[in-house]
Amino acid sequence: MSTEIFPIHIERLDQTYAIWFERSNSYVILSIENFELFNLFLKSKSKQGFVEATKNLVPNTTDVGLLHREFSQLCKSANTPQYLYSKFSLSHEAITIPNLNITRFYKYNNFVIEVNFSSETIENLFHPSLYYIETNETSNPDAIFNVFKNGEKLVLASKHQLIYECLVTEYHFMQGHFAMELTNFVHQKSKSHWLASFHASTIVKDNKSIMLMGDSGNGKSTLTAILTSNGFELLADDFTPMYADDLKLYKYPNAISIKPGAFDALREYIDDFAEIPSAFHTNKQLGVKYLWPKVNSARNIISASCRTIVYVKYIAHGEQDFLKTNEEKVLKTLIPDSWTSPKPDHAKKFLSWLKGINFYELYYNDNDFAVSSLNSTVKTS
Amino acid sequence: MCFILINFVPINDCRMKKNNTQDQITRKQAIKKMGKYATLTALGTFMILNPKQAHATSPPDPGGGF
Repeated sequence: MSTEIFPIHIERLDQTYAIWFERSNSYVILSIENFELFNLFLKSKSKQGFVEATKNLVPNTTDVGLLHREFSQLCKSANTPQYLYSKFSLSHEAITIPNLNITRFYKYNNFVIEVNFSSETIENLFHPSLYYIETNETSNPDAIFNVFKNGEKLVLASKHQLIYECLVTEYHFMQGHFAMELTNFVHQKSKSHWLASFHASTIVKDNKSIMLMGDSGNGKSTLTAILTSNGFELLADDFTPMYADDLKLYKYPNAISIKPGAFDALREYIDDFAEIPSAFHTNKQLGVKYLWPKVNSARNIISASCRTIVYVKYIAHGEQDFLKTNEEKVLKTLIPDSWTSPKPDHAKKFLSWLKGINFYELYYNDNDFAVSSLNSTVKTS
Repeated sequence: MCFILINFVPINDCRMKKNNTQDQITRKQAIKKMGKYATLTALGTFMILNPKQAHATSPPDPGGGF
């Protein structure tokens, strides 16, 4: 078998093996026994060789034939690169910035950033969640970003250079890239050293951070808001970046977005909740509130190590539960929902980081239950 | 995300086997015990997980008007 299709990195996690393939930047999760068989598959020079190697492990050659086909398909799939329209411009080609008639200034970590938008709709993609860091200091900004529509594309550019472009319909990628650019600048990091941007919210208490993840609509942001009124500090809502050099999670200074369905649940936890303005998006009567938690302590945490990931799900009915779980349950949602760097050294670091993570599942309908469950992980971790 | 079913021993069974060496039986014996369903039922899975190709967020839909 050609060694070109072999996985590059293999890491034994708690109850599974995670293996990484460079060509597709994909991760394969295998049970320990299946990994042993997969290892024999990789070592075998032929199907017959695989049959021989596994004859004491499996009942008959029919099963082995099926297994051989499945492992072959696995290798084929895991070595097929994925493409999408969006591109990251490595050349940073020079472009002409059109006149953009909406300008906002933001300040975070003592840096002032000017952002220009070509329309109110595009401004609405970014500004409501950054409203709380808007500043009146408008002279001599430390960085300038421009976001505008060009044909069917959305374009992100610095003062003179293209940074990223995508189809208008892929605006969530534009928001993600803008978030990464802003994060990178306010923390003065190197863009090529970011290891991941997780679709997760992260809160911190007693110097211990907890990453909350789950499918969209599971209540991550609502729970994040409740936790910030119960002694936890917000590190990031919905977009949690990780830096490769120190494997820390970094602050993305956006507010927590709260959908109308969660307003009732939050009124008792958030002071003056009714006074927070709702942001209405074009053509949608969806009045989202953006909540900027008050910082309890004198310091404002900008980065934190993380050893705990919790899969969160709000359940209207049924029994609440908070339990330690295996990595498989969490990773099958976390990885497809996140960006991870395709660089081999970053993939290795990511797998190594996963090895040290404690995974939990939280099913709740009572907020106090959720708060006490997460407090318990702070005490025990 | 892609799931591929594979008819081998599931993760939970692996854990049980590891923790109970006294009662350990071979895979062949285990499958025999399960009878005809062993070759018809997907007993375990492996998963190919593809991360997103670009940074993304999941904010509220801004609606049309671009």
